[in-house]
Parts: sequence; structure tokens; C-alpha cells
Amino acid sequence: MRFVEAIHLILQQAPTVVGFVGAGNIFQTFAPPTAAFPFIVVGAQSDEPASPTLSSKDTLRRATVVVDCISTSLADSARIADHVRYDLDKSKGSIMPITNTAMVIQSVIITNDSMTFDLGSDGGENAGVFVCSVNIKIYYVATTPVPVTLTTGL
Amino acid sequence: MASTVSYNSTLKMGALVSNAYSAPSNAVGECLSINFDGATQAIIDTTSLTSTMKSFKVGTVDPGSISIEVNLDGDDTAQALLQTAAADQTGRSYLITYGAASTGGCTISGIAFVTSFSIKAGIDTVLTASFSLKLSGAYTITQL
Repeated sequence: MRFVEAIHLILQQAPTVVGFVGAGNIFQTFAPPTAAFPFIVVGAQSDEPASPTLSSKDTLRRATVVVDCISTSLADSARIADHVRYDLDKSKGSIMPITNTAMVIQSVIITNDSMTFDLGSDGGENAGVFVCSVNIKIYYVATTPVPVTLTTGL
Repeated sequence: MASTVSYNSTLKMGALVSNAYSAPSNAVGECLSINFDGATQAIIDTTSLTSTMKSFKVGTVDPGSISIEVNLDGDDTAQALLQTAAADQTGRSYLITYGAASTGGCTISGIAFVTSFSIKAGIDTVLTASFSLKLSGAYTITQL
């Protein structure tokens, strides 16, 4: 799941996105209840080999993540999503996640986005927020597996 | 009953020694598929005008060909060897291992020429390369 951290880092380096929401308002997996609007939450969806081979030494992987752009304003939510596409689509390079060694991102591809209105705690429209979800596909190079030989235990 | 998974199947390529097969050790990396299409015997029609049923004799045997598809990998030395072999008009030793010793399968070995090489790119796909090899002379099949 390093790719979630990678997209989080990439968003923090995305000038248009950061200019709108601020680098401190981009979160992984969940946002604290105290987060000020607007903000972004990055979540994982899937991670799989890009093109599985017979030798099981696959390192190029394709992950999908969803970037939720959350705001009390429909216009702002959509604008953040457009900024995400503007800054990230077809981006590539090498980044250094906090928890691991350098990670090579071969391509970031925006696949689609969608808009929902999330009802607030009162179940009505007064405390709700607009969520524009941007789905992103990311091709990255993972470490080479070293498969163990299975044996009968003692 | 199906008994052996395709994973761990490999194709190794190497030089000929004294113009003859020599077991290669260099496995082609990132293989997606390895197809050995097998031998074909030529058929000679011996039917005559007085025959009531067609008759045949077998002719020479064509050992067939191999086609493989790989994820293109610039760091893979065996893929580089295949690319070279596609243009240098020199035969190579090949050794296909289908399956693995621990799971069963077979090996096929002999001499082949690389007859074609192509690279393909597409939207939202990895780069792949395809090679075709024409077998020459007899091949050996050994059960693992």
C-alpha cells in the first residue's frame, strides 16, 4: 500500500492543488473531524501486477486510488478535482515515501471522477458536504519478490 | 486431469557449440507466453488411377516453431540476446521448461533460428515484445 503514500506525497507537491486546499489539508485514508474545509482524502482501492509473467518476478504494478475532494461548496469540490487532474494526469518520476526507499512512478493516469452529496449528521442538507471523487490509476515499480520454497514443517 | 500450472515455465537461449546444441543457462525474463507448436509430418499422396481409396506415405518432418511474448525489459540480457539473434543469421540452442521439477511438466530442447522480433505499445498497457523461432533438426522432449 505504498502507492497511497505516494499519491499523498505527489498531491502535496502538486502546485495547483496545494494552492487551493493547502498542503496540510491532504490526508491519507481518513481526515480528522477537526479538518477545515476544503480538504482531500486519498484512499486505496486495488493493487495488482500490470502484466503477470510466468516467472513470478513481476515488479511493475498497477494500483488504483480514489482522491476524495471534499468541500461545503459544489463549485469548490469540482474545482479541486479539476486541479487534481491538471497536476497529476500523466505525471511520473521518483519519490521518496517516508516509510520506505525511493519509489519509481512510471505513470499516473486519471481514469474518471464522480460527484456525490454526503448528508451530514443531521441527515439533511444543512450539514452535508460535496464529495468529488477522482479515480486514479498508478503504475509503479515494486521490489522484486523472493519466493520461498514450500516445505513440510517439522 | 490437469496437473501442472504454467507458472515457472521458462525459455533459455544460448550459443551453439561446434555447430551443435549446448544446454543454455540464460532464461528469458518477463515471459508472458511460450508456445511450441510441434512437429508436422509432410504427407505424400500415392493414390493412383486404379486406387479405390486414397493412399499416402509420410514425408519429411518439419520440427515446427516457437513463439514467445514478453514484457519488454531493457535490463534483461536474454531478451537482448534474442534481439541480436533476430538479425545475425546464426542459430541458437534453446531449452524450454514447461512447469517445474517439483510440479511436473517437460523440457524441449534443440536448435533454432530467431526469425522475427516485434515490439508493441498501446494505450494503458505495458510494452511487450514478440519473438518467433524456427526450429532446425531434431528436438528432444524429456519428462520432468
